[in-house]
Amino acid sequence: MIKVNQLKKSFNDLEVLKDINFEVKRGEVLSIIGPSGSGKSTLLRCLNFLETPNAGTITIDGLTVDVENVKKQDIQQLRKKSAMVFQNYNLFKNKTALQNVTELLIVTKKMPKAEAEKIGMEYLAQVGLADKANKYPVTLSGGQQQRVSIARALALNPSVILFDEPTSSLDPELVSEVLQVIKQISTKDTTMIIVTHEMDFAREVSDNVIFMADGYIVEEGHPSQLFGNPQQARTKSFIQQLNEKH
Amino acid sequence: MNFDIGYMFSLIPEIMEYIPITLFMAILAMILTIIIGLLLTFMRSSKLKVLNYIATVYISFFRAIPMLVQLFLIYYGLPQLFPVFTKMDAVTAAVIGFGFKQAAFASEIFRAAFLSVDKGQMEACLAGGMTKVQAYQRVIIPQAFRNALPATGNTFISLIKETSLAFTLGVVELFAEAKMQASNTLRFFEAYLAVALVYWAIVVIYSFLQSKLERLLEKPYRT
Repeated sequence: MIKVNQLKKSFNDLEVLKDINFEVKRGEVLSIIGPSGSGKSTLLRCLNFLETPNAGTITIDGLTVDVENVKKQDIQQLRKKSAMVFQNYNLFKNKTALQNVTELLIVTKKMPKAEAEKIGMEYLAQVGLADKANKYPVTLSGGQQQRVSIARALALNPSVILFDEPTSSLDPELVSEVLQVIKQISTKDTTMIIVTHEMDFAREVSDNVIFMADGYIVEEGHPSQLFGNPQQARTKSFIQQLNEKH
Repeated sequence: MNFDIGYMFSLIPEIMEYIPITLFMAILAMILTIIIGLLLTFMRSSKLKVLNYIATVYISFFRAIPMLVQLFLIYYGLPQLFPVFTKMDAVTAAVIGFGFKQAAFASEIFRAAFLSVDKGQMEACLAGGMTKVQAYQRVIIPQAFRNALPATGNTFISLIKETSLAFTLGVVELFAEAKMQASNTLRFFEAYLAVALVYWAIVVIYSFLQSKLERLLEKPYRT
């Protein structure tokens, strides 16, 4: 479904991703964890070319892109196969909750407005915000905004949804409502890659977990394995530090 | 006191007949301002250094020279170098002069307006499969427009007033008409007060319309 091969990314002289290889199967949930600055978000943002990688190949749902020989149209096609949920929600501030969900359907999928609105309402209902359809983002709480942005991603019916620290900007009391929604989606067939600092959540929803440090994938495995019995020293010390905090 | 208020009021309708030419120049100049202003904005954010440089020099030049000097340069100066410009009429010269100058100021307004739309929204558009052009059309420009409206409105008010300088090129607009009335009757105060009141009324009406539009555009941002 998703395959990343020898992906590399540098910002000027700083190598952020050194040699990244991984695979995600259809319907699987992959979590990426690791210390700040390890390259997790950059990796996610390379998958839809919000950051341009320097080398490697990315395959999503049958479309393979060679990073060094990429055309504008390829990037466009690749982006249409994924949807992203951002740390800061990034809702369109001049549009209502419903318009936020329908906008991309109308513009990029050329869907008639009425049909887009029907789908939009369905997904807003799924994240529990049908009653906020006509509200503007500024009137919604952070948790509600993030749920709208999840509805926006779901409505695109993408091959994969990329979550970039979806709860990191939220007030603590709003985190659980967003995690609940993501959890609920994860039980369906949606393929997801989640960059997160919420370890309990990662352990619960993931089929697979990647631990990253210093631009490498240090360890990869089933959550019970990676959290319960990490093999690498670097992973062990990271997990240990987390446990001490609790 | 030597002030004939009745005469002043009788002048107002006569002067008002020239509102169309004044507004015609102001609106055309405004359109030119927006087009060149946007162009300068994009040039300044361009990765091509040469475009950036041209825009910077343009802005520096047109901000510095007085409006009147610029109008004379265009209308009386250019034909000397390029004979084709002798065919240019005074209204055209005035519109070009006003537009070129205000564009230099407007580009700064537009730049700030675009910067105030957070980068994340552009990323959300791109990640969702929009092209950059679509993102600008659907999401970025509508918000930048709202941010730019108050200051751009001031530019338009400046333009309405600056059109009075067109009389120096021989264009008969509001001010030129007042001047002619004044020299006919030698009632200078009445004539110039009458034209001042007409400008005031135009700007008050325009400001009212703009505040209506601003309220409309504010809607998504009211909590």
